[in-house]
Amino acid sequence: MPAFDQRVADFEAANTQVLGISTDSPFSHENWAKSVGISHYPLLSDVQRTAAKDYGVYWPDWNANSRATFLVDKSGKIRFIEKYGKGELPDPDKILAEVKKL
Amino acid sequence: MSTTAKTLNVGDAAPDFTLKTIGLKDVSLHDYKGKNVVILFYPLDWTPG
Repeated sequence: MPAFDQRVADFEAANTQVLGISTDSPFSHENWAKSVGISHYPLLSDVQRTAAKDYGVYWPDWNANSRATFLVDKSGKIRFIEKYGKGELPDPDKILAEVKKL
Repeated sequence: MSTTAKTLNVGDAAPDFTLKTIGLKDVSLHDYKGKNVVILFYPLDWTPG
């Protein structure tokens, strides 16, 4: 999500860490991140699909996770969830607005 | 036993995880205690977004 990479400073200013998760390997992440320009937040590899299953976003058809955003507050509680259908992407402005409500 | 997939709701505790990032470094959710965290799940590298 290059759209978020460009906004990491705005999230940092709101005491917020951005993390990306997919089921790809770190080697795939490295190539993809370089190719699309993601360098300001970590891309994590859920190769065992454990996080996908714990967060209820496992997508059996692709043995991957579906697209979804979770906002976790300082105390470790989930405060906002958004799930996306085909062709839908998370909007950094909208997510940042949710962060600022905390 | 239910086979229904787990669903998280607003107000639930976020499940912790420890996953590898580029360079094979471990990153855990609990590393960021005291900060808010935005977790972006995306299907696969090389998909739009």
